Amino acid sequence: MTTDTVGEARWPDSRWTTVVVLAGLAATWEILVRLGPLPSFYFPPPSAVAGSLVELTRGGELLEHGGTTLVRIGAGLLVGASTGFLAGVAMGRSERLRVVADPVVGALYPLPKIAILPLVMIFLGIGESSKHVVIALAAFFPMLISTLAGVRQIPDIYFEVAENYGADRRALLRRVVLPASLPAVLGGLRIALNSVIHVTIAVEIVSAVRGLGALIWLSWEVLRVERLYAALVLIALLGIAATWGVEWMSRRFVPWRT
Amino acid sequence: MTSTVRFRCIDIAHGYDSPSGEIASLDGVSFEAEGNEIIGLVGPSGCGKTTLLKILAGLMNPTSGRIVLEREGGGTSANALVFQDHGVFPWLTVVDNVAFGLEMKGVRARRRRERACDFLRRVGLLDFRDRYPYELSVGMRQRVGIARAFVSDVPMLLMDEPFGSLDAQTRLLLQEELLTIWEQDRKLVVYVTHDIEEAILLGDRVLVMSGRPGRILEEIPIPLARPRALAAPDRPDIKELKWHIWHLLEDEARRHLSIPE
Repeated sequence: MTTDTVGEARWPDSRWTTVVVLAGLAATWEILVRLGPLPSFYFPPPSAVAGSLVELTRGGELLEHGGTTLVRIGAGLLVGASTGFLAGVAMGRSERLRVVADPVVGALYPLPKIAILPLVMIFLGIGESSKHVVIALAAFFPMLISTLAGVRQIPDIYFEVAENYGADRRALLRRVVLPASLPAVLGGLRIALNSVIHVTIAVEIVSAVRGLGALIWLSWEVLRVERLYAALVLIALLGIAATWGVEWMSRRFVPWRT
Repeated sequence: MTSTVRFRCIDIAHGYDSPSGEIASLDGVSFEAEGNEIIGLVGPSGCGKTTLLKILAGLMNPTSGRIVLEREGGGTSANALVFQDHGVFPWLTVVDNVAFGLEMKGVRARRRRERACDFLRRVGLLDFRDRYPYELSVGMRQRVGIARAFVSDVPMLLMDEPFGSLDAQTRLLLQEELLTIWEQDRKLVVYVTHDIEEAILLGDRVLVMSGRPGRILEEIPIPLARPRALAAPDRPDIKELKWHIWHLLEDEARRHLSIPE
């Protein structure tokens, strides 16, 4: 049986395109620095950035900073995305709840989460917990809003069919609401991931001594420009990994999507 | 096995609120049906056919009037709806779609898969059991929706223009298939369509509805023997019936299009 679909066939191609484009840009950069038009202080060549990455790895800083950031992203995402998802489903299914919660969401969603950090630190102190809360909030809102939209746009006909065959509330949730909103939920997860990466780095720049954001700030303070770039490269890689992860989940969990 | 059912619609009316006041969609609809007959319900578009079907299905309540439903044998739900399109769940494979009614009744996974596969084998869809609906043609999707209704062990099927969006050839093939399936597993079917010939081909009786608010203009028995072939309605007396129904509907249809009489 052939199960090839267009999407699967195209997938490796686009990944290779990404690699080729990025390698081409890096090579151009390297050449421009070596030939002179790009000043190496501001634009350390990719070879120097790579050297710096090796140095960070050997010295254990990569593991320390990168690991710290990963833990913060993971914890914030886990808590924020799952609660945002639950809140989105609840609001999508309950008109009453939606009417009450909509204005609150509307007011809190646009607040830059980094702006809430000082307030949260007054409550929870300057330790990890205040960071986790702010990062979780960054995941919570996009997840809530995407899930809510996903649940709301399910055509009535699917509910009618399911009810006609005797589905109760639980069966409706499990067999209609969850699968039908899954594409929107995964879209929300992707936005939540981006948002979490932004806020995590911002929080680390503002108030941390560890993490990739802190590494950026420390590198700036001692003018280690190539380290600064190395940290940016790591964050970019994180973003790429996140995107690929969500795309993988879409293929794995939404095989019925054209 | 399947229990039999008998229902009476008594003076069903339905209205809904719109910005321009209340709109009556059904008015004084009464008819009864029982056993394993097929009732063709024709009427101009917007005459409340779908509303009537949803009321019969228990998905909507009439504004006034009532439905008396009597059935022998047990079971949770008495009917299964088949819609024109989008009736099958895109996120379930063919076999899971077909087994959905049994799943909601609490039939065990292995048993309901067997039952679904048996039916799919009968209609030649077995090879597609693990496909998703997007991989099927529109006509095949409709067959999945009909398979689900038949597999669900309900005595009454409510079909809302199931072949309405199909091309003419596909429609003929599926009408033939529906007749075959029904001959093997006779249920009470209420078949809504705007296609007069289809109503005559399938129905033991044809109920002709007026434009909004929908009421039953006439009930016409179709004197054709079963099992029926596609060519059965070509008899002169049946042709006459077709034109008789057309004349009942013509004025409504013209008004709908603003074509002068």
